[in-house]
Amino acid sequence: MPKIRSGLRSERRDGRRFLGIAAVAAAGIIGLAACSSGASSGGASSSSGQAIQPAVGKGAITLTEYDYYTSSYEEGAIETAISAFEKKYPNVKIERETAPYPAVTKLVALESAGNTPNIVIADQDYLSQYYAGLVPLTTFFTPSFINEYLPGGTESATLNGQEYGLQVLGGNDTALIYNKTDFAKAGITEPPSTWEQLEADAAKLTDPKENRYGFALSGSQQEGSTWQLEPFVWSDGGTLSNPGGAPWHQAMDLWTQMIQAGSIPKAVTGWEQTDEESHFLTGNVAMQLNGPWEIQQLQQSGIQWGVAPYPTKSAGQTLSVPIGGEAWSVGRSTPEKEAASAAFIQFLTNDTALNEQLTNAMGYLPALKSESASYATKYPAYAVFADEFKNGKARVYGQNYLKVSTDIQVMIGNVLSGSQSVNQALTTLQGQVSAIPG
Amino acid sequence: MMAKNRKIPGALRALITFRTLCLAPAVLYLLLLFGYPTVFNIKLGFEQEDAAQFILHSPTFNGLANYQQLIHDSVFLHALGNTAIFGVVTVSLQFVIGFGIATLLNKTSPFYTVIRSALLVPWLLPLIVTGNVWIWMLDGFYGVLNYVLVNLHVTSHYVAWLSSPHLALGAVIVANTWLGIPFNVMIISAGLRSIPDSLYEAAAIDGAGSFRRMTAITLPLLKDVTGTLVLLGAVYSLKLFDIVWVMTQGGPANATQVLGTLEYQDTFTANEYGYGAAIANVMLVLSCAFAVLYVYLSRRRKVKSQVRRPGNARSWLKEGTEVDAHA
Repeated sequence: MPKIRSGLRSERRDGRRFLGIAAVAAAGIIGLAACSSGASSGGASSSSGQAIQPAVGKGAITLTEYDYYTSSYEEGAIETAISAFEKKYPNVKIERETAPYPAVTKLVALESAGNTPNIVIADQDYLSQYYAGLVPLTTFFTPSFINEYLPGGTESATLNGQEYGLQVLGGNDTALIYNKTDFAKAGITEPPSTWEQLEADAAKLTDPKENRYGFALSGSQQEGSTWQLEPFVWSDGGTLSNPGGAPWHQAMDLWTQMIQAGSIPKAVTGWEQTDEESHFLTGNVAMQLNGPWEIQQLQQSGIQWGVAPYPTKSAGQTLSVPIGGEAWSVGRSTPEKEAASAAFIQFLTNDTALNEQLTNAMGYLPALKSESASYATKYPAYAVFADEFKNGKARVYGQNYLKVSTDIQVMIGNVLSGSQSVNQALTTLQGQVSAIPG
Repeated sequence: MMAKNRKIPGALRALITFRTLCLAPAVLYLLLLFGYPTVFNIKLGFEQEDAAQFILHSPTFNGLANYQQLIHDSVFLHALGNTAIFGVVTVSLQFVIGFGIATLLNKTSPFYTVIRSALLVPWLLPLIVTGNVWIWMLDGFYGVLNYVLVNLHVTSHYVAWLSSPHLALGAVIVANTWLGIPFNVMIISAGLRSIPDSLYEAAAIDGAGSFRRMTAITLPLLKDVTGTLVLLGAVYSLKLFDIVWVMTQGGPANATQVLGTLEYQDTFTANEYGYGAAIANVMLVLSCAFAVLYVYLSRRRKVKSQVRRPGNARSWLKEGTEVDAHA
């Protein structure tokens, strides 16, 4: 039986020739790929550790500014800040660049290409990802200047012992927002201040036939879920490094009991804070955990709303709430531009009247100690948020807060959806957190 | 035969040079836009690089550590399982339903042509649109599905379809299946139309019932079409990202995570570029395996059909097989 090989001999020769060409091409590409990465240095030349005075030089200077503000009031505030600075220093022009929240990918790409924006306004939760293109602020400012800001915000923007950002136009936190009309209908006179009251009130306010639920929180896989759990855990004495401890168990037990009783809609495993707000505005939930940025929407909604601090496990415990918002940083660039960027931060810090006006326009709480003292009395709608903010805590876990937070988010999703028991989920979480260096 | 070949090389060489010139732009495009990123990604799979390292252009080489971590990563294994489930369920359901619809509409009247064309609309919609429509239909408070089910007394209360780990996977599979049915209908219709009616008539005369006609005539003659659809479906399932990301982002709690979404999350949310590249390389290897399998199976079928052809030995020798003179 003759051996049969398929294909024309010339076809096989073409095939071998093609393989030869492909091999050469592949070798070329591999060489190109190997050469392109690794050798080049990153970023523009940076200033060394020497101090630089914040100052605006003579001559035309163009600074680039980067943020993720897209709502009309936030943009209004930032643009007012920019115009005020440009008015004082007519030779300076600040160009604004935005990207949708959290805008970290684009920022990292810009830094990697050596085009770090001069003024970076970004979520300090992600600082561990974008700090490599920034200049520590101690290069420009004295410790007493930095000390004008509340410690929580400053600590959130500290990495490897270096201070990278200040919450110039304030920051935010969350509190319990409740529907006063629903409370009156259910006969509840005061917002809950302990967990027991929260559970009882939520049950009274729930009416599944009317698709109305007593309490809502954020349970989907994003930072908003972790940062709503943190007040429950921290106020009871828990820490991020010990998820196996009693405070975590008790907090998750509370959430599980409420969701099993039907006071929290099962849909929360897919909700972010915006979903809580939209369902609150339509009357589907009577209590939600949300932040001061919602106040403008609430004021226009026609709902009788009130704000209360997070309930604590037992009466009299100190409430400890995580701080959010944006840190303003200076990107690596020429010394002249870095000095001008620092001058922008200094300008907005020293002009406290403008600072307070813009902080309020943003819907934020002031991070400057001098403003924070009287803010609650001046703006009663923000009083609860401002008081919580004064004692607000930074969310840190070495360089790896985001990793820990992701594991916490998955744990929350597993517990709220019922696919894992609280014990199982927290034991897994403890194992995961122990393996993350902090 | 050997003498003929000695005369050909010169002419063949000239032909190849001209052909190479014509191919050069396409080859260059492939090298730059597919070759370079693929090779770079393979290299990145052997490194560890987070955002700060990326900014400073200093990845750390860590050998097979990423892949070793992958094997022990329960989320990755779960995503792999989900991808497989998506693939198998989606492809088979799409084929069965598509086959049914194609058979029903297999009549050559303008009315049926219009219906077949109208069926294409779901497939033409952008996935973002489809995903969002499904999100709203499945919404736990305002979804039309809940409204219908509660009013028909099938369920007693509104169900949050996309928020429950068990139901979310089913919901996304349903949406994904629905998406691909029109394409299956289109391809199978073309295949059905290429089967001559005379075969069916002959079988009917021989006494074959409609089921027997389907299994003995339609399905075997649709083998090529089935093969193409299965391959396309398998590769599409491997690449699956848009519909899952729009509907659940891989949640709740990683219940609907597939390889595509996990890779995106690890690379762009967690900023672990090396680990994400490792996952992408796994997807690449799996896709190549499918492609190679498909080419091998279809080539074997081609050779088999050539060998089986009746006629004299010389005719199929000319056609493309070669006899080893020394055998």
